[in-house]
Amino acid sequence: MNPQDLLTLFDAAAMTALAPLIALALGTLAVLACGIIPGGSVVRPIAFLASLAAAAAYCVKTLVDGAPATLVLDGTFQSGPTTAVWGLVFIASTLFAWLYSAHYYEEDAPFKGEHDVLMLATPIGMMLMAGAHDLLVFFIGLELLSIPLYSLAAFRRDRIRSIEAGLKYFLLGAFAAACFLYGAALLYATTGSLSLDVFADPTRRAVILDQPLALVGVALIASSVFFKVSVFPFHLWVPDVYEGSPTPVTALMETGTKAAAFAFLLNALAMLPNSTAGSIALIAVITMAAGNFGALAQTDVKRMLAYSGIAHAGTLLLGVAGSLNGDPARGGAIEAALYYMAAYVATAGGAFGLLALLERENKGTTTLESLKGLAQRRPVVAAALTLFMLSLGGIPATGGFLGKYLVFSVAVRAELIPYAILGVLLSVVALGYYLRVIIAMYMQSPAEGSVVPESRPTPFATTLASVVCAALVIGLGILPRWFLEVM
Amino acid sequence: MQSHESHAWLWWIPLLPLIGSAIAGALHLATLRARKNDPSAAAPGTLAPWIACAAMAAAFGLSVKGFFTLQELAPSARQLASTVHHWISVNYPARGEFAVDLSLLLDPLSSTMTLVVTGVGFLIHVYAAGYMKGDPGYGKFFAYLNLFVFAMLMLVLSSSLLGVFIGWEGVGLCSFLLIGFWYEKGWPAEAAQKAFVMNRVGDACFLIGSFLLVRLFGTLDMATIAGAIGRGPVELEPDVQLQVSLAALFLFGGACGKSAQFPLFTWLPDAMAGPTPVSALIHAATMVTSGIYLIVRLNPLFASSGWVLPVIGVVGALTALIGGSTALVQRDIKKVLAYSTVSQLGYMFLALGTGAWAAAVFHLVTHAFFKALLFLGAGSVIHGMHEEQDMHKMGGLRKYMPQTFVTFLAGSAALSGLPLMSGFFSKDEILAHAFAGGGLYWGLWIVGVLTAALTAYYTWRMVALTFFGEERFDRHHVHPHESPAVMTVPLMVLAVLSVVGGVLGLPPVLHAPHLLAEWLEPVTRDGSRILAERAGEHELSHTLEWILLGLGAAIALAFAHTGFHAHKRGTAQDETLTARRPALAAWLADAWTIDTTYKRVILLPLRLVSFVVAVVVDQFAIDGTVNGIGASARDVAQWTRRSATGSLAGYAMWMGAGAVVISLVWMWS
Repeated sequence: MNPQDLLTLFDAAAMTALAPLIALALGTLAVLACGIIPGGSVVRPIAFLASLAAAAAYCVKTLVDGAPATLVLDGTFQSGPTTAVWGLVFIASTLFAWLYSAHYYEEDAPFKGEHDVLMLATPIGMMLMAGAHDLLVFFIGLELLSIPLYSLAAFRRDRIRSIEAGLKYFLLGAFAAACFLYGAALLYATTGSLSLDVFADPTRRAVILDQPLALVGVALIASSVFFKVSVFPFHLWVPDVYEGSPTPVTALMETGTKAAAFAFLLNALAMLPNSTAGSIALIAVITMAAGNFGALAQTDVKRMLAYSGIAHAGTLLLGVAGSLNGDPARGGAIEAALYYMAAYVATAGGAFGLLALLERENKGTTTLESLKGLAQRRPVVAAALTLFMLSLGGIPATGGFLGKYLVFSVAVRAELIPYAILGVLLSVVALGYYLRVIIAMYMQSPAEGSVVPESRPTPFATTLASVVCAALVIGLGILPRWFLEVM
Repeated sequence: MQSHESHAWLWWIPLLPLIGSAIAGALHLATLRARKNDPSAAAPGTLAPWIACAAMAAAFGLSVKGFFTLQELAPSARQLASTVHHWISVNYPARGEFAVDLSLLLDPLSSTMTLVVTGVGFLIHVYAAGYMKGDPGYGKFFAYLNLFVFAMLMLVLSSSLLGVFIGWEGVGLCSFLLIGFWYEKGWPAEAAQKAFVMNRVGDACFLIGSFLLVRLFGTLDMATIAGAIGRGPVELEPDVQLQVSLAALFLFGGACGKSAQFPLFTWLPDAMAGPTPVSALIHAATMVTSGIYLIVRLNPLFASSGWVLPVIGVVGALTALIGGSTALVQRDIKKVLAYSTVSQLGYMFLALGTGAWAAAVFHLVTHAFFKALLFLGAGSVIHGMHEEQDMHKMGGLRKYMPQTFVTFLAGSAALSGLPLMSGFFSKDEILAHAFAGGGLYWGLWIVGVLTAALTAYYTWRMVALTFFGEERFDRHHVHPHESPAVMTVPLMVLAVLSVVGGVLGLPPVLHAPHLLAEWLEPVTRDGSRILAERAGEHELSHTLEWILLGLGAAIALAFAHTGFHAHKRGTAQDETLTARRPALAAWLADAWTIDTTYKRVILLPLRLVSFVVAVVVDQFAIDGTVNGIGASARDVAQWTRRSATGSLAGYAMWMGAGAVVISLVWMWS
């Protein structure tokens, strides 16, 4: 390849599209360098935030320009307002996780530098996934996200559960990655291309999706994405991994990773045959059932939230199914998914973040028992956690309600009404465990003889992140129009 | 004709009291914190009235600015609007867009209301600074009071029914908080609850009415609704007519709740459990007039509503009579004023029922002046008498509190409609409209005149029992004293307004312009035109008008005289009535036993049904089922939980199986 070709490949449009990724990549290098240079640990948070801010600014710029989505880099990467909003969602998710991690680690605190490098690398992978228009680009993004996450999951090296989480995540993730590659290879064998372009033309798409080999390829690719978003039956790893990982990392996995995988799924929807809508809706409902009933049995809040995350993935998958089944409103599913994930990043991010705070206070436990009487000890934390629980449960006037409303309307418009009804009923089950948290905090007092932990002053980073999350949850709940217009 | 220029400064009118409320609330919290450890610590809450009054003064200043800005415009262009946010927008493929904006509208009607709310409200705030002094909840009181004004201003300034509803619920909430301000005593808390629950009945009607309007017009913007009806044909299609009538009826139901009309009036007398400035501001001058405002705002709708208008008139007249007759025998000075308020609000609805929109607003304004004055005067008396409210334990107070006495006289003269007082003109205008209506309205006129006689009687009975006759209190323990200037100055201002307020609406026979009617004409034009085209104009001859005016004056004077002389010597007259006609006295004192009937007919069966539902249906049937479902959900949950064995190979097997099954299913389908 001669230099001239490189210049055509990386033209102005491509550089604009890649600007947020480049900002994050440079930031990652800077944070890495902070580990070597003297006094670097002081500069590190600044470098981290500056890189996130620059990336966010580029996303906002794309959003404000409002230019329609374009394909760059020889048609392998897509950039436009939708990817920009996704980018903001990823950045927010990383930011919240990082803020909550600031005072989380104890014995591992000396390695916070490595932690931050790994964390800052994840949104690059997410953005590559969300914008991928080519299966290989997606795979690079997937690995760029996954490998740091494997290490982050096992970050607390002297805790057996953390190591276990990392290892489990890594082995199953490798399995899923293999599925993906195999699927991509099968698709390449039938179409001679790895680009999603081949599905753009309806007649060609019909021809491809008529071949059993291509269908197996698509199914394998879908399976690996299902693994990332954690839907049935690819969800079993979730509780173990989420419980064992450091809580801020769990927040990142629960929000950012899921959002990135859904972004790709919606982007590559043309790959799936329309006839799969029914089976995907079925998977969605089973996932909701598995998540909600699983959560109901938990006594550990962190594990409960892990199951609840599975249920949320199922809900969102129902919107995907609706889109496949022919939602009359164009772009309705993408809008719903963006709204849902934006609300979810703030809600789950805030919930896990506060859990991280309480976990440190309670010497590592996050059981329902340890939350009893929290409203008396820490009224503000209890109130914020209540808000997040209500939003997770989809109570009106929170962002969670409107996200659910939008997703279920996609399903209803697409005439998946029985599934939508089942989904709504399963959301009622979900209230069973969200409200249990509120009950424990407000209506129960700590068991006799239990040691009530000393309240420490809340770190500034935690307060900041929680206030932003709470404001977003309420804002998304009462000013939906404003947010929808921005999107 | 809506001016497209945006007047964002309008938002400051409601926002200033809201900010004041937040600051006053913060000061109260600071007081609580300071007093937690040291009960004698300096209380920042004492600054709250300054903040609250400043906010009110500024809001009043802006209202005046709005008034003059409007006046410079041509009458038909008198509308200032400001939209800050397109709040809700839903697209229905079949019906088009349904949108609600967050927007304010200042026109002659809302300008009038705003001036009353902020003007009278300011005076009451000042008065309250003296009245509530020393109360442990001083700061909290002003936070609530300012919050109330914010909600009330949103109610009268919002351009959409949803905005009105927000204000409507907001004033309801603040009313609840302020009635129950002294909740430690027990009965204020119950009264607050009663007011809240009864208002919910009205609120539900309001909502249903709004839904019907959305169905009919596809919007909640009141100017659009009024304009659509005003421009449409006078005779409507039968099914449209029915929907219009139902919408109007339900909105009137909402108005009945908020404005204490039959059958939803019984909460208002109980609401007197709140501090007296609250009774003056919320339960006399402003909140209870919301219903009248709503109907005048939507006057084309009500004008087109057919049979609903006479219903409003009948309900108004009936309420006026119930309130007036009940006030005759009350011993509690605030109860007299409360029933009197119910009765006067009835007059306003009687006016609306005859289509006399401007007359209703006129009486609303003058009533705000003189009833606020009377409540504040009563508060001054109660304050001076060490929290005594029973008039049988007062008497001869005129020499102890001369300023209160003189201003109270002015208010009483206005309420009883003595000639040339403000209440004389506004009441007379309503009665003249009823008289001109003919037919059914003749009957309403007779009820109105009867109530006017009752009003004069109970007003002067109250004056006589309170300020004249022998001193019936224990002079060793009670030392009546005049209230401080911070309380009496607002009384004087209101007294002047009560006396001269009549110039706003002089009757046509005096050949003077009816200022208020002309001012409101752009708002009431459509409704009046529709009524005129449907039912024909009713004009009274000048001779007849003179006769009516003279009759009103004669009745007021005669009954005021009788009432005063029958009671100026003490409680003998009351005791005679109780002795001779115990059944009648008890029936009157209990407001025609309506409240007792509610307790028996509604509350008792409701409690019974509640008990059955709670024990049999809920605990046995529903709890049983739900617990059953819950238990089975938990069984499922346990089963689900077991699937997470923690075994990596197991997870991988599930994943592999999943991929295979999905591949097979998709190949098949």
